[in-house]
Amino acid sequence: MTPQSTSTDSELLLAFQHGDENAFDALFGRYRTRVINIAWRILGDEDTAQDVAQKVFIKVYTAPKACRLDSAFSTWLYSVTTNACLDEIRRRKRSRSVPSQELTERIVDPAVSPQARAESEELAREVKAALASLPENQRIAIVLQRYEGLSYQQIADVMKTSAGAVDSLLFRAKHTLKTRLSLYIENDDRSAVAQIPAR
Amino acid sequence: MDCKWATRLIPAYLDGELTAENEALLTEHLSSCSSCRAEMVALKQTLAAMEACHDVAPAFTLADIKAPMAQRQIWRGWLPGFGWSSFSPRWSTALGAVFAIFVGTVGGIGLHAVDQPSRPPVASRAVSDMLSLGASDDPLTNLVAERPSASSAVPGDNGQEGRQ
Repeated sequence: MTPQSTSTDSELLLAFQHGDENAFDALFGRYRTRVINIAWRILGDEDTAQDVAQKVFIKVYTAPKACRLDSAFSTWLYSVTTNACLDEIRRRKRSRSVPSQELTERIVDPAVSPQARAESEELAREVKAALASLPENQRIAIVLQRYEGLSYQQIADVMKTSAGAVDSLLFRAKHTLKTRLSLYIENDDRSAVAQIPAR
Repeated sequence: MDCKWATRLIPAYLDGELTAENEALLTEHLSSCSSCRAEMVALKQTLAAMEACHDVAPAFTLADIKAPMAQRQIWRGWLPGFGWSSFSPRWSTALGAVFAIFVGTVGGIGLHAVDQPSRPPVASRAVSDMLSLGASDDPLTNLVAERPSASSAVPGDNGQEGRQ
């Protein structure tokens, strides 16, 4: 087990700020999947998300001292990522360009029937469309909370707002998603409402 | 707690973000309200459906991040207010242009000063002129001589110039 694999983000960042390239490599390995998926869920276009995610890491690589050591590296990284996504969204609006609806390759499970696979892909498309219909701030909040597991306070730190504001964003986002995805949700299980559902 | 408040708290309850007090109030309400329980089930299923949006794999590698920096001509230096910094070609070009204009301006001023014969400033020239010239050639003396005296004042003029 290499030292980098047991080091905390702060230790790796400090080492990288002092010129240790291996520390950057370790941070890159830890976060590149998270960054690309945050970008792809916010932007809805995989090619653009790949470009944005790459630019985020180039920024980290060329300006490591931009992250203060008194704040979590992940918070700063996610903040850079969401800001880069917002910049891309604004750029799209100015150029009035619409991202192409690409079909992302998925690993096909041979045990899954074609019908089930088709239903799953249709649901994935509907979820992606439902996310895209949200205002940017709600979309960022729900992506960070639902897919990255951040707490309300962590999301507030990333978005530079309050936990109460994040609670409000998430409430509105989830209400919209519930309405849009209601056709795809099995909600006639009466036994599930006989008692308080588990979390 | 009424259903409106309960509905508002359900998402935060599922996220584990409610205070202990609010959680107790919500739980009490849910124990007697089937419609709010149904609302919670619907929201849970919505959130579960979001898992259908699978992850994608990053298409870029470390080399994609580092190689462009190694190939570019990066200007590295210390700038007041910025510290040791690296700049991209665009900024390197901009900084180079600003520096070239600055050098050209300073150099141009310096060359202009070299080309002109060395002359003392006007004030010191006036003093040196006065010292080297005779009184009759002193322009200041001539001005004084040309100033009308009180005896030669125009009739009606009491000589108090500037006084009203």
